[in-house]
Amino acid sequence: MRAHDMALDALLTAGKQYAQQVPEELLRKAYEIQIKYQFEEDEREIPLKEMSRMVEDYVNKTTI
Amino acid sequence: MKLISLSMRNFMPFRGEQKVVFPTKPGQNVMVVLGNNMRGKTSLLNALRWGFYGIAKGRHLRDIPLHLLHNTDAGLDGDWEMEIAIQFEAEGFLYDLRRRAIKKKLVTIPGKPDDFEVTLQLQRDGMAMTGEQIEPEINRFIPKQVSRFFLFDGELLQEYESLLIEGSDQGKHIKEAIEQVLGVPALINGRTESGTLLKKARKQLSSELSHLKVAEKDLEKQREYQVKSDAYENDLQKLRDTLKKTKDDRALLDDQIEECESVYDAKQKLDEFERQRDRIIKEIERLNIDKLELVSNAWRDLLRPKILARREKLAAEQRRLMNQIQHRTSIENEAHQLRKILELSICPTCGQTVSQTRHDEVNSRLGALEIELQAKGGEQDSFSSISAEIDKLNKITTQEVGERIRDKDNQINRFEVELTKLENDIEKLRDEIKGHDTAEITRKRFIRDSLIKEQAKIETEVSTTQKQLETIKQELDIIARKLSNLPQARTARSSVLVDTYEGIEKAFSESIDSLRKNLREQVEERATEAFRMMTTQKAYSGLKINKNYGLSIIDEADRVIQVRSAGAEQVVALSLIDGLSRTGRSNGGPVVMDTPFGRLDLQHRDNILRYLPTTTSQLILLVHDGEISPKTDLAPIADRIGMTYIINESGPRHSVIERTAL
Repeated sequence: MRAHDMALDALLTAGKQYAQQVPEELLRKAYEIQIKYQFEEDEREIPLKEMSRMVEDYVNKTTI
Repeated sequence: MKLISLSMRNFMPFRGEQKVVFPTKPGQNVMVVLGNNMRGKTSLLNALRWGFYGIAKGRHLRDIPLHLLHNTDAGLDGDWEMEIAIQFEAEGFLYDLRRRAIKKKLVTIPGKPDDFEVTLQLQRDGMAMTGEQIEPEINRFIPKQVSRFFLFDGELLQEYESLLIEGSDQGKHIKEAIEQVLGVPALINGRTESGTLLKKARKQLSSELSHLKVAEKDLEKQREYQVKSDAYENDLQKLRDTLKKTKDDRALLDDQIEECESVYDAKQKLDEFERQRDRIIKEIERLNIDKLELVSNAWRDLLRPKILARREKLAAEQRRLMNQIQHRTSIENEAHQLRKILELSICPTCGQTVSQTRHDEVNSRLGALEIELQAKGGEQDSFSSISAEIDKLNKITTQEVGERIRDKDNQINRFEVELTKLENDIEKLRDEIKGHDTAEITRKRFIRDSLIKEQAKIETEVSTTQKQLETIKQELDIIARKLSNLPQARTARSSVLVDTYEGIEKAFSESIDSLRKNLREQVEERATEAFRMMTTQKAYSGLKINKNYGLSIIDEADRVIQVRSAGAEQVVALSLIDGLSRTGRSNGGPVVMDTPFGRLDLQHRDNILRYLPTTTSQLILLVHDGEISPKTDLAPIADRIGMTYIINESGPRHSVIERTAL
């Protein structure tokens, strides 16, 4: 298993154990955002906004 | 990903346009670039670095300013254009990357990086990509942050030893770089950003619940803790900024101090030599005073032969008188005995009566002795007078003053030779430090030492503030959970938001340590595989990783090898890089090694040369004939070598890279 698969695997395992209220799909998306911008050390607003949008969308769908 | 070609124009010693083609056949993926020191092997590595990332590294991996990358001779000819073009293929696309630096029009002779204008172009299958797409595209295949694991030199290999030193700055720095290769920052950033969003969502929830009487007390507490939390976060940020600045200042001073280390050493030596010189001058002065005193008594040495002759004569007379005195005493004793015999007429030995004949003989003998005694006399007085004269002579006969003066002269001469040598050395050292402000160097060392202390102090403060912040955050978590459990909150949208962010933050947070643990296990396993292939010591059973990703060698009894040779360190470092590369890079990729065999023996080089080409898409070795003998050492991998180049000197600032055969 490569490091990035291991990182995702660790995140999903932790999600199952400590954050059952968060669906796996949402964690996968959050991880994709972070991997995409992992080397953008000085421009964190973009992944921050993408994470926020992703969760807002999810909450909007689930609370309707 | 595979490198296809590299074209350099006026880059460092490569004047004009020069091109290198990389081997791309899977079975022949090794390229050897031969070049002696100062020819441009590291410049070739820097050409790739500058092409991909716009940076070049000098000694101690410090950045080389842009204006110093341009070939000096080309500049003298008025050619102020420098370009690196790299062709590579990745994911089935052909890429053409060009980074160019041209002197700005209004600048006559560039003296700083800003005097150049830099442009970057990237084409994918002949289609130009836009400016903002270029860096992310490069980062997809060979991110700058992980470049140290595929573009590296011998100096960098030694850095990995610091991973075994708990708490070392360099170790921490490399650990961060390693974790970047392994994707840990993605999880850390995920935790930080979900935490930021969680805080925002909690504020929103609190504001929505503010009208509820039942939540009043908790909201008040929450506000209080939030103010504290914000204050600690501010403090922490300030401390981290100060720490970073302190570290940067210290690194800068370290570099400056190192640059003038030889001057500082010379100044230290100069001070010591000057102290020695002053001591010697004082010693010579003291010896001269002693000598003067001796000279004032030197007249005695002139009389010495006569005094010694007189003393000798007197001593002989003294001995003669002593014999006479002893003789007289014995005659007196005999006369006394004879008188007793005559008086008693009895032999004092046998007690018999003395006959008349014997009596006459004794009488006659006594008469002779008395005549002798009368003839002698006055020896005792003469003896006393001679002894007194000898005493007087002894008093004026000192030890040889001349000898002592010669001894002082010898000592003075020795010191003067030493003094001349010291004065020559002092002169040389003064020349060496001429033009350098040694007081400034001392001042910098003093500031650097203060910064080291300051850094340790700030680190402690950061750690304390972090703990305080953690405690506050735990309190805030408890209150937030309490508030979101209120019946009025459960249905609120902001409550669902808080709940979701809490979950995401928790998942990211908990996954970091577990990922680190898994990564360490995997890196240890893969580095051990590599180590076993490369080491010549079969008694070593493998490698053991620590929290910093530092590797220790384990023997057959599972004990850590405490003392490692320089060669073993290098094999361990190469094993770590291979382990990291195989764990962290999903696409394999090229590895460029500058002078990697410096500390290795033939058998290790042989093992490494056989092993590394099997784990990389391309292995590019930049070597000099001191570390490798191309004809013999490369024989084991001759069939894997797809391309060989040699860098030759064409002038002091001009090298030429050409194809060659082994």
